[in-house]
Amino acid sequence: MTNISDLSHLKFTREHEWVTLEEGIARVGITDHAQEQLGDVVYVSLPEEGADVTQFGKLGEIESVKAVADLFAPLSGTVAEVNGALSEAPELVNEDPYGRGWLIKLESTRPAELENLMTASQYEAYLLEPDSQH
Amino acid sequence: MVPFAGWEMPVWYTSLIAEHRAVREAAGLFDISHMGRLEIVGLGATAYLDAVTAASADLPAGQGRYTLLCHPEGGIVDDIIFYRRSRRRYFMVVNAGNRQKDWEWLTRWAAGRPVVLRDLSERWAMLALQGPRALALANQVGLLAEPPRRFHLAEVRWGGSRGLMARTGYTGEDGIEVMLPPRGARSLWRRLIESGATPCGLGARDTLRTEAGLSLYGHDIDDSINPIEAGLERFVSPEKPDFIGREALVAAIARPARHMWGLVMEGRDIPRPGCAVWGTGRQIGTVTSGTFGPTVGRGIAMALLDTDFPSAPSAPVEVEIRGHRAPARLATLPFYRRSGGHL
Repeated sequence: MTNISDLSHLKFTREHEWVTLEEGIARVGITDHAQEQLGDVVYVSLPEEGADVTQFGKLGEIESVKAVADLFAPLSGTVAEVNGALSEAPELVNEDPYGRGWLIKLESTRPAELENLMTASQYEAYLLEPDSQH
Repeated sequence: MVPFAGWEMPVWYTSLIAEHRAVREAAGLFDISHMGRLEIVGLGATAYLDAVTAASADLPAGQGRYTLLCHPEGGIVDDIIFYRRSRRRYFMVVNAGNRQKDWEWLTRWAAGRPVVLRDLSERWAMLALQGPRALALANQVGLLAEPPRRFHLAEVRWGGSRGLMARTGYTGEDGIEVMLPPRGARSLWRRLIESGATPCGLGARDTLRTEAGLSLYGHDIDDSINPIEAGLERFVSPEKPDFIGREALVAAIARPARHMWGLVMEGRDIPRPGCAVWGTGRQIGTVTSGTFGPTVGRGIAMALLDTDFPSAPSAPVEVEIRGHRAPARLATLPFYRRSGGHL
């Protein structure tokens, strides 16, 4: 399990997605907290390559045995790749949410939008806010 | 943890799917202390239960029966199991969420009859040990020498505690349900976990019972659904001369308006309770229970369908899931049947 303090290269949404920019390509996933809340993931529904997404717009859906949750795009961009491993092994999202359980890669992003996201330490504080339902 | 009928209960301990598999392949342990438990005692106990339940109370001591409490109009007050303990003494297990409603309903119909009702729910904790290894494990920890037969009840001792044990469950597997004072139940829980039982939460309880086609009160059955519609006709004895709801149920047997079917999704969609079911261009019913079935490996549902739709196994229908219609096929319940026995 990756410790949150090792995640300083990631930025986070209030909806529990993470994103990291690597040579202009944004890799996106859900946080360890999110996978823990959802439980065993059985299905991830994501747009096809070439689709355009908008920051904080709906990206897709993630479904566990017990619940379904909407996924939101942490950045605007065009879908470059969907993690094909998830169609056979959706449990990767639970087992390795920051690694092999990534969801989607986006290109043509606007790096300035990263300013709208939380850092790892801000996200950690956000999870500890007492009155919010996360 | 989630609130459930006034209790705080875990949906899963580690992983719902791992817990589900443990019950199908080995042994899982559930804390079901939330279940309501009553005792019915008195000269008129048999006649009383014959009047308030849909099944015959004429049972040998030790034997139990799954059946329904029905309204005069046929709708289900609750689904219950009652056991005969001796000639004038019965024991009943009811749903946690209906405990208060059942108590009021049962005491109302007991008025003027020579019976006494006692709520024993707080006296014991209740554990369910379920799975192909359940009986061997119970034996291994020294819980029982001779297990009761299916749907039978026996007295049990564990350490210094005395309680009851029934050969019942809600998973589609063989297993036992044990009632002990809280201290004894705690030590039994620990001992069974040390011996290899997997602790299981409400989530696995729901996926297991759905695969086994077992009704959940508040979803597949309620005050407005009668047992004939719900596919529970085999737990109703219309040959009994009189019981509450009998006339309505006899009429429903002749002409049921709705009936319960299983649905298996064709693709990866997961049906959820409340989803509309479509057939030949019109809505033909509603999903009452829906989930991913870990053993089936697909989305499965129980659905209450209009009887005027020509239902048949494998008939294609559609389930409306978050705005789109996903293909499914009708299936007879249950979705899962354990080998070498019946449920």
